[in-house]
Amino acid sequence: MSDPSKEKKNVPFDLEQAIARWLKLLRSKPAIQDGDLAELEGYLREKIEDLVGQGLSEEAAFKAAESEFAPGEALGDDYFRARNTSGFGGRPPGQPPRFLPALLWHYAKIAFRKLQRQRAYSFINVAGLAVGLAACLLILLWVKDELSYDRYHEKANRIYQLAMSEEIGGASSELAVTPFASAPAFAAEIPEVETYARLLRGSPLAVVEGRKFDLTDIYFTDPGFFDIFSHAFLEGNGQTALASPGALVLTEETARKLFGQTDVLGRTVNFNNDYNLKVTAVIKNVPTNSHFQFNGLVSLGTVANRAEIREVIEDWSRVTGWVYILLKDRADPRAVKAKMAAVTLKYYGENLRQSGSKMDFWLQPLTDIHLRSRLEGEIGSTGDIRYVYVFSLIAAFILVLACINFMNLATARSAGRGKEVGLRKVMGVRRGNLILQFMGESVLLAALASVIAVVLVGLTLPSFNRLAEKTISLSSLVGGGSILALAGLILLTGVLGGSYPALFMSAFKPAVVLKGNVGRGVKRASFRSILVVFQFSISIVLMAGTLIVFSQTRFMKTRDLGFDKEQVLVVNTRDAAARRGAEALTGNLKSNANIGEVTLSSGVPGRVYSMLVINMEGRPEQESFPAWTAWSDFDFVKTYGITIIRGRDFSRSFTSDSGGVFLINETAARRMGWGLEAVGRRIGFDTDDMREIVGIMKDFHYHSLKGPIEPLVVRLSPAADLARHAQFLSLKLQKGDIPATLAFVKDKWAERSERGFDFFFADENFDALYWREEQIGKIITAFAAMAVFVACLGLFGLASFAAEQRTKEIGVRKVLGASEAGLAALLSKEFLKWVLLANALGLPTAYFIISRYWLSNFAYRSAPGILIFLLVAGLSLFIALLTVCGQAIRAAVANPVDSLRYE
Amino acid sequence: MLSKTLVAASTKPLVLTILRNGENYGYQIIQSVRRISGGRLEWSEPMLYPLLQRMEKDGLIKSKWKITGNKRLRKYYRLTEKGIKEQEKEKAQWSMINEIFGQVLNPAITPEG
Repeated sequence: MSDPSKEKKNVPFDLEQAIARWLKLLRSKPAIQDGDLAELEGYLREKIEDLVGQGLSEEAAFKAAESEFAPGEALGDDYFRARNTSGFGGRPPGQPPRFLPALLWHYAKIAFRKLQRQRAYSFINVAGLAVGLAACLLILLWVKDELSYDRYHEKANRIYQLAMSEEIGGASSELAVTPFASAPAFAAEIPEVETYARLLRGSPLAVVEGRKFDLTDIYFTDPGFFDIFSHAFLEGNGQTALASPGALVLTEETARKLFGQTDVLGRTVNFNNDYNLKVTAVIKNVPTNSHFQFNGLVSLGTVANRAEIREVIEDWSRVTGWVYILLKDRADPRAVKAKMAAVTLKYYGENLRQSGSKMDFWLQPLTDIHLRSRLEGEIGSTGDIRYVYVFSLIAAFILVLACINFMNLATARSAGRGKEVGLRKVMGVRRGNLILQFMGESVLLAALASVIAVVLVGLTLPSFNRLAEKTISLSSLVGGGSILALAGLILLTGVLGGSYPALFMSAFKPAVVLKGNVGRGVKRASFRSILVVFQFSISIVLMAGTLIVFSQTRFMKTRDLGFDKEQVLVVNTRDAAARRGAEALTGNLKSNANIGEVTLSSGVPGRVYSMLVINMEGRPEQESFPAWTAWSDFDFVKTYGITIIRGRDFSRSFTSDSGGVFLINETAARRMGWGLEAVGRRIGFDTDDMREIVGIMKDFHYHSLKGPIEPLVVRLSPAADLARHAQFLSLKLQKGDIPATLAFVKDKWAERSERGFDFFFADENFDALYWREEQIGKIITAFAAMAVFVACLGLFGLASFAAEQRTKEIGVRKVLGASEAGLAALLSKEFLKWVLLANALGLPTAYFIISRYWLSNFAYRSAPGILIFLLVAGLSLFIALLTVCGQAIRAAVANPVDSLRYE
Repeated sequence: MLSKTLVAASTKPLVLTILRNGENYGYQIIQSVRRISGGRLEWSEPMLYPLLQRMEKDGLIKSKWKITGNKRLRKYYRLTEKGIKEQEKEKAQWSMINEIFGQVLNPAITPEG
């Protein structure tokens, strides 16, 4: 081979350089070892020599020889395969193992030292992640609980609730309550129906051996109940429990309340001093994740033969209670729906045709009731699938926030590790290993954080349960897939959180890093600020959401409802017997100077439950429409301070009134098409009993502000009727000693009835309509606070990092005469800029999401004022300033001598 | 030109056979093949070296670095005991295939003949 140095001057081709380049190319293939390379080089040189010997130029010879390697890309693969067809692992042999167990301790040590070295950062990292994870876990527990409703029944997928769409006079409603008459007809005519259970709710007075107990949520039901629903029996069994009339099934709690024990089979309980029941079974308390709760069951047969009950349960027109149907295996509910329509037509079609109404039955799956039911009159309070979605989203957001924080801080911190990375690379560590190392550290931190998170969840669960009105236990975190999910979450968080720093740092070039001028983290400031903006945007959306939820609830609670809800005491008179001769009681009560007007009525604002079809005199039956209905005595309007805008109030001075006349609200007057001219016209629930409308009431809210005001009629009832209907005794209290007045009323009540004194104040009662909104508001507040906390931790970490980064700059500025205040402002300014940007992004988003998806549920809503948004903006800036300021000031007041001396 | 599959299948037995004549190194092996085949069989080293690696790993051949006269490193390969056995086995198999081909192609001993 000729000496290449000789040709260097005049010939541009340098064989040695060409070979070196060629070797370099091959060296980049990890599978080709140094030995292989030497061998290949030898080959190449010999070939070139031969070719040169044949008269080719060095350049041509090299090209020819090299061209043999044209498929050289595949060469590495060939080597790799040659060595790897047997044995384990896909690792090219030229490479050290990805994971050396011997280094495990070393990595752990480094990770631990890092934690110790940067205590503040580590704390922020771990605390932020822990709080984020804890919030996430709490929400997941909540979501899991919401989703678990009614799924514990063995036949859950075959159980349906009978639902009904009803259309009367053009107004349609979808109801969870249905006529009891329908169920036996469906069971008899539709083969898919296996069995059914009708549920009629009662609140009887139970007498056990002379002791009296007020019971609530006792249901009268069919023997099919236990064929449908799965309950655990302590005593007795499902076959016999409800088989015969007079059977009583108690829950464990009720059994203990009545008897002090659960071993009470065959014991006798008297209801309402009317009939005796025999305990046939004791079951465990109803699980909290059931869409309805009960304290006891009575066989419906006990009362079914009484004339007044029979009249109700055999009438297709009487919406009576709830019906549950068990379908046979693989039965199609839609097919059943069609058959139900046919059966309805057969049994009740004639009546429907006459009245021009519609009645459609369909089946709502049991597992949909809690979250997806949109029916009126559900048996218990239900949840809302939208909240499940929203909360899951919030959980995801908080987790993302915490992860971003983690990434952000870890990346910022990477500056300090540039040298470590450089050194490791120089010592032969490959990029994959570095990535693994950083990921490992981050997963380790995530695991640490999750341990803390679980502890946090354990500590906060009781208050969370109070807040969310749940009974979630930490043990549900352990059950089934939850542990796996948790482990997955940790891994995900760790990998997500560690991915950016891992990829970012592992790409450092050792030569540059070791010189010490890369990885000061400044270059990546823009990326990190985007993350901060993102975090704050989310926090701002949550904050704005919280405030809007609160402003809406406050709006609903403080809005003028059109009646005087202050200081009205309402006694729930559950005892019909006690109501007989109620006139005497009211007279008695009025003797107390602190009691003003007193009225007996079947409904009070916030609790108007009955709806009846209103017929109008001189108008065809097709125009009849359903209206909310209340019966009252003469003083309803006076007691509640309702304004009469046309006509007059009920009056004792009109003898004709006592036969039963009507007051209607404006909406009803409009609905009737008479407007204010309705006064003097006659309407009635029955076409053969038409009565005069004596006055029109100004519209007032008698239901939640979630819905619009609907037609309402109030009928003056004769005393005898009133005793039957009027459940509520309302008393307008004068200013004075309210507790004393309350005690007085209680005494008077006790003189008349054995039933307990059950009372509420009208305003509280009305506010209670918004408990769910308030509850949601509180939960969101809690999580918004957590999100803000996490975001602030992130900001704090970055601010202190930035301050540290700029130590020298600050020193120089100070030496050159910058003021401390000016410096602090300089440092804070940048962060505030980001937060402002976050506001600009977050506020419109919040406005859009909330007004579109939440506020639209309310018929009466407060437009989210500019004030709320200003407040959020101000608050976020204030919090950000507070977070950043401390760091900025600390940096600003530092002695420049210290910062400049330090090298 | 020989089909790719056949080249691939024959490479190993040929290398074994060449090495049966004594230790050799990569470049020389390729040259020998070309010479013996009269240029009909062209091996490239990207295909040979990984094969050598593989065979060494399977224990058929052993390699040894040697410094040649012009101070160049060369890796020499020689057969191991196992390699010799393998070579004999391969040789027998190829002979058999060859024989079968001969019989099939020779009309004298076809069934019709």
